[in-house]
Amino acid sequence: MRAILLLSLLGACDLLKEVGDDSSTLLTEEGEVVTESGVATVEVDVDSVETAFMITADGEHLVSVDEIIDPDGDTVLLWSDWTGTDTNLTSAIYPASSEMVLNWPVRAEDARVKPGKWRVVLSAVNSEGRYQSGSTIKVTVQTKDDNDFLNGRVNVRLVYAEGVGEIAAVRDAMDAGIERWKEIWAPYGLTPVVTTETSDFSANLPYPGEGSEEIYDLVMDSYEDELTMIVGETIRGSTDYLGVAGAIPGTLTANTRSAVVVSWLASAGTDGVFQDTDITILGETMAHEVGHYMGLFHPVEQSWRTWDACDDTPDCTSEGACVSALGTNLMFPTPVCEFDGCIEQDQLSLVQEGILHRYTGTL
Amino acid sequence: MITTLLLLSGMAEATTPIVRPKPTAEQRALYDALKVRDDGPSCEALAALSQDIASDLIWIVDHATQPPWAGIRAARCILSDHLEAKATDIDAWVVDPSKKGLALLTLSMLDEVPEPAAVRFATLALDGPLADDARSRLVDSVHPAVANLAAPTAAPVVPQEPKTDVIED
Repeated sequence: MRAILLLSLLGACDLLKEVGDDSSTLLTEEGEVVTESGVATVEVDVDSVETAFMITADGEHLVSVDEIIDPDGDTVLLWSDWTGTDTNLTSAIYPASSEMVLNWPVRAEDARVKPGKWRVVLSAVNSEGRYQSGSTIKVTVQTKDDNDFLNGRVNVRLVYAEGVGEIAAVRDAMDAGIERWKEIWAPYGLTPVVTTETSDFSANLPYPGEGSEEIYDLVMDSYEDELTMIVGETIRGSTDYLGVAGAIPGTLTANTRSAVVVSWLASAGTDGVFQDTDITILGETMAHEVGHYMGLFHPVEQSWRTWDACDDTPDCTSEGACVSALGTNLMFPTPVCEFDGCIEQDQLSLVQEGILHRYTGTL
Repeated sequence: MITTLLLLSGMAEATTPIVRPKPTAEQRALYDALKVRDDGPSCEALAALSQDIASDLIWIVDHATQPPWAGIRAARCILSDHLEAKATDIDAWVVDPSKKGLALLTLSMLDEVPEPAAVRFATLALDGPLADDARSRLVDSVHPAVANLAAPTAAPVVPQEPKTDVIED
């Protein structure tokens, strides 16, 4: 039997901020719930102008979403419909971490957010998958008032790690890469609004998917309507990674995964110099990783047996077929290159575009 | 006539195609594994793709310029798994400004290699054109010998002339 507990909002209206000239707003509320029989329900009050919400949870055990119920009492998401399938909709249904992020709706077809009380059932399980009762889950609910799913801006706080911001070639390359990112997003009505700053954050960046207290501390200083991107030299002591998104989707509040990290060294290549092609790919990498952070999966994983939940990205089943059908897609898992050159990857499908516009941080 | 011949020879030279070395099947497989955008392959996984992995990784470093991380990832596996066999290649990386990315990668990994090798590469780097980049990255090395090499040297003591009072008449 699953008991339902109501979210008690501890500090309503912690932040109400208007962004831009279209009066889009983001509202943040915080509270906590305690599980009974392993689950607890978070109620989200949605008014007539709110169009998307995000729940960020931080629990004592592994946290995931079991079910989402709309104000009419209809179940619009059930975890068992998606887990173990070959289709990725959201990481929120997987109990992989004590930190969980849900953005709803994900796609246009996942029902418009209608006014009323939405109920989101969270579960707490241990590492063996057993439900845990009496488990406290801190919850942050953010809702956005922005019904324009054709135009939106995403605020990005770009932080240079220690010493990196002082390297003129890196700053120039990042500036050019950001211009490339803007070009990629422009046809889809999206604009990254990037502010940059230097810091004393270690240039050997942590891997955000594993959680990092340093990321948490840094993001505590970010506004709650902006994503944080950190540019360093290496990631987890390695150049294996050029960029990593903390989660799919990532949160707008501070947790240990709430950043996208980018390695400049991996992006500059063996000569350590940003050639024009390197800058093109750098811009695509930033747009790709932020795309993950805003909820996009690869349209097909490299096994060629797992796909995203977008109906308009073909479920191809071999490398050749996938390169042919999706090779220019921004979220394709690999660049399409031939040793000394790569094709541009800057396309998004309509459903992918809709996912980005429904991200709560897109205002 | 001479002019015509010169023109023709110039055209012949201009249209000569640049022959790109053709990868073997194993080099191709390595490249395909290395070029992914997100999590790269492990060195162990790469080793399974080639009978002569060290040399094939060097081939990737030398010939795969795009995506930029392919050669960097290959170099990382050389540094972690084939340090002795390819030491002379690595020697060249740390002193060649046209391979600065490889040099910075090597310097960032010196804490993970045995101290004698770390000292060898650090010494070369600190004596070469990339010394400034090397010094800032090596001064906190876990290898005491490397850290000592990179430590700022005390300013040489310049003997000064004894000060003499000037007496003006």
